[in-house]
Amino acid sequence: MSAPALNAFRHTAVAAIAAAALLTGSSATAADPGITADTIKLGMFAPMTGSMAVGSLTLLGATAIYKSVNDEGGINGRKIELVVEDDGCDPNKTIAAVKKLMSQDNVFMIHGGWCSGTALAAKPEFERAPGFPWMVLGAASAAVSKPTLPNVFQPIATTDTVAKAMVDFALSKANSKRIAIISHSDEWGKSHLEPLLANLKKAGIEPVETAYLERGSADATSQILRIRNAKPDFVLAVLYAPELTLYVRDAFKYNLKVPIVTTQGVSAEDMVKRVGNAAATSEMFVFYPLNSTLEAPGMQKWIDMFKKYNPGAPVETLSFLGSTGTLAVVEALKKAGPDLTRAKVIDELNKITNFNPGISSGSLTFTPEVHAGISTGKMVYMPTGEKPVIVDKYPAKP
Amino acid sequence: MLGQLIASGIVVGGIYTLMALGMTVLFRSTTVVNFCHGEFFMVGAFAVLLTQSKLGWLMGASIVFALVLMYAIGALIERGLLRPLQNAPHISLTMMTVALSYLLKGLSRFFYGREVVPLPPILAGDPIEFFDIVLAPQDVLIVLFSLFVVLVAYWFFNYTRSGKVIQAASQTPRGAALVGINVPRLRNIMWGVGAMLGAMAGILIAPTTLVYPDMGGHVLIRAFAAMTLGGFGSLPGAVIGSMSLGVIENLLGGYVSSALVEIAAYLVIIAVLIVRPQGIMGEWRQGRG
Amino acid sequence: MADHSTARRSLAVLLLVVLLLLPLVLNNYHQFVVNTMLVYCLIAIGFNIVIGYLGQLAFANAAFFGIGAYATGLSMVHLGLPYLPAALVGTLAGGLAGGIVGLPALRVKGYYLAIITLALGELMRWVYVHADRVTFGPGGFKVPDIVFWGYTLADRQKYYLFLALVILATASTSLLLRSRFGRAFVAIRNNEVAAASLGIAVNRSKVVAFITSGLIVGLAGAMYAALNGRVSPDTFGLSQMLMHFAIVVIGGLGNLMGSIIGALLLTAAPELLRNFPGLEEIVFSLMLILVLFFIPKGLGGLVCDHFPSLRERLYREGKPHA
Repeated sequence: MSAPALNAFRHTAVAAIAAAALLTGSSATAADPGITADTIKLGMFAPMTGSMAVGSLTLLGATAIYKSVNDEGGINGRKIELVVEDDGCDPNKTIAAVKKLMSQDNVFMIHGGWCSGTALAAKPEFERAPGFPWMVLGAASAAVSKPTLPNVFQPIATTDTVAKAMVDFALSKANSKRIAIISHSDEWGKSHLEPLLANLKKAGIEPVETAYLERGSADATSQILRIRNAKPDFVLAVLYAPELTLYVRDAFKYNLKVPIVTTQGVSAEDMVKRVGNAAATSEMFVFYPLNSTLEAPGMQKWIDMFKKYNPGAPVETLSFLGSTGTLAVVEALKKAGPDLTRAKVIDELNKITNFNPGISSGSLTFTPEVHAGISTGKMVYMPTGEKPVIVDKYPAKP
Repeated sequence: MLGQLIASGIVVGGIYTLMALGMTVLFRSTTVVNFCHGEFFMVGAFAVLLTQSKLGWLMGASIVFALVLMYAIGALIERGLLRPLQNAPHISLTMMTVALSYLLKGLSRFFYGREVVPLPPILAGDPIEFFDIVLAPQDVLIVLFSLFVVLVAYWFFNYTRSGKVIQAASQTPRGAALVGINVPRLRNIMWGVGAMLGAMAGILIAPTTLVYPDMGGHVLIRAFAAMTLGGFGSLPGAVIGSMSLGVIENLLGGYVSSALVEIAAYLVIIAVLIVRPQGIMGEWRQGRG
Repeated sequence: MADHSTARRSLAVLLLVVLLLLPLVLNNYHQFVVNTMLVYCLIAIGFNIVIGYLGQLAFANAAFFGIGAYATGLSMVHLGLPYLPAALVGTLAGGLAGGIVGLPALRVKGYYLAIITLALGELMRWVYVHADRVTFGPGGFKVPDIVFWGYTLADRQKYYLFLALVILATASTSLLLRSRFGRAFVAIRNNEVAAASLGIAVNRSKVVAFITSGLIVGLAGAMYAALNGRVSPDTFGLSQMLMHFAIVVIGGLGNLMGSIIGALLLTAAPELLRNFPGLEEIVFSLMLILVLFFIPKGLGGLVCDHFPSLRERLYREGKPHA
């Protein structure tokens, strides 16, 4: 080739490469990825490591159900192949995990997200892929499903629901007017605090004291004394188990004997064990996301299933938080039939109404407009420290 | 309220005292600021937890085991990881302790990341009340034990021959070596003792905070604040700084805002280093010998 | 002599071509990881200026990073700035923070500096959480899409933007380090008194080092905000600081190439370790300990030991001494 022609070729080649590089590459495929004749590839992500690794229990509960479905023959002749990624409760790691599941592992759909912050960080990935179904695993922030995205489903009681239930419960006690709040100042705490304040405002109430207790605290004295000085009728506690234990013990010690209502982040039996003082926990009401307590016969089969596929892992309320969502996924996959597409699965999910396999305290309903599936819940408490009792109103004293 | 805040502040201050004392002992003997002291705290608590729950040992046996284990770990770290770096730039020693903290935390997270486990208190029972102050028996134990350790340390360093020998070895290592003092062996012992003190703090507070891999980092920075406030390297300073910090945290939280409890330590650090960097008791410096 | 430099120049051109064509072979996930690597390259370079070249144990890097990210994101959300001006704001905010940290660094030494900078970092996190009317609190906030002339940037285009920024920042830093400032930093690190006796303006040099570090890491923060589309307080805490530390020590203190090697290695490692959850911290800390023991000059130092032509002017021969 002559020199000018060579140059022209070089320039065109560079321009072509540059143009190709600048355009977002995407290829439309005829069939949905992640499906073969006998497998469905399901991607999952949750904090398997890091400071929030306790969230992995929810994932283990979900995978136990999937594995048991496989052992019973699978769904319409296909077995579920799981690809589990760790998100470390970190936004950057979560985005990497979701991108890997979507672009490298090419999964059919995703069931994941436990920390609300990471779920919100991952949400834009699903906004950009509106046909890709995402069932949330355990993230409870209402912002995940509000505004509603066509492909994002949240099968857990959101912080909005929990907060409303807590406020309603506290106000169901006769003459309950002075309400105090104690909360973590992290994102989990905040996502409860805001709807708590909003619901209180609707009832015309301002909290008499709002105290912050940080994770890892060794002492709650100043917070409890402030609350005690405010003379509340009820305390709303948005705390994880270690700090809630600290609060309950010390509140009893400092003679702050006021009923407490708290979130679904703890389990009542576990708390009673940790506090070790039946009198202190006799008026501690826990939002109960499950239908019956872990001892009830109805839960036994799920506990056995969890233990079978996760030997040695702790059996707690958190282990079953995502179970209804898992069963909803299985249901939708079954109903979509052997000719499986993502669009059909999303359709079937939207049709789920009053779905109640007996695990969650409310039944699950999705509509095309509302993808926050559970809108009710009850409270559980252990008045004598021995047997848990489920109530939906503050039990009036005889 | 004031009385209770101060009393509880002293209890928490007791834990900080044990941590700060341990770190000060280590600082004086190796001039290393031990960034993995929080993990000694955590591993000590885990050791008691595991032997109690998995092996079913009695509380007393578990504690003794944990302390012996921590002594061994401290001594091993000094011998295996720090002594070889003696001639490296000082920054490498500090970096090694940071790396160790990372490792210990990673190991405990690997085995125990999924749960937060309770530990029964050493002293159970009804709360004790006097005037309008309430303290749990465990709280009283913490205060008494830290006072005990402080007194023992004071007596040991100032009134026994070995204590003075150790002081000499840390103030002027070359001079001490010249008169035949086995400086490396003393350093090794001090690392074992320092680690034990950190573990004891963890064991005492674990029933309150529960045992989990991240529990160390939180206390570490409080101990730093206490040492800075009291005077870095000063033993009485460690005690004064720790008690003051515990009380300051509670007073700020009780009278100003509970959101401030978390950052009280950071504010103290920044305030001290701007106003009076040597702290209340003044800084301890290693001599040129 | 001429052959040597044409060889180096051809190598550089080849490297550039590879970098420019790289996105063609990457899927979305790999592209995201590569973008993350670019951000960490700047983080490592910025941190190295203070801890490697100047030799000060200042743990403020995560704070600079967070300040850059927050300043960038918030100016896009509250002030409606487009991305590049917002990134400039983030960079300058980082530089300002660097200057503020540089001042106590003049009074306070060694471990005190380490402690106060850690405290500052945690304090900033508390501010992000509690000043929620401005910073949106503990949940963080969504960073608006980056739009150039009506076109929204996807990961691939962000790569080119980041690449340009990284090349620019690295080149500037390299120039700075080759100037009398770079020599001043190293002189101060080796012996502050001797440096002063040579007429080096110690205090001014220290502040320059901190400000430069703040600018570079602030820019990295601006890129991070664009990368994830979300900024939240938890990202900028102690674990982030430990990660920066590991990158710079393993890569090599006082060695720019080491910073890049460390950044690439420690960003890739968590992705490669995905099948072994929970091992990440253990692997990193073991690598740190091994490096401190056997390769004190880091991997970058190891490479430079064997390839003298890659050494910087400020490269340290022989074993490091106190």
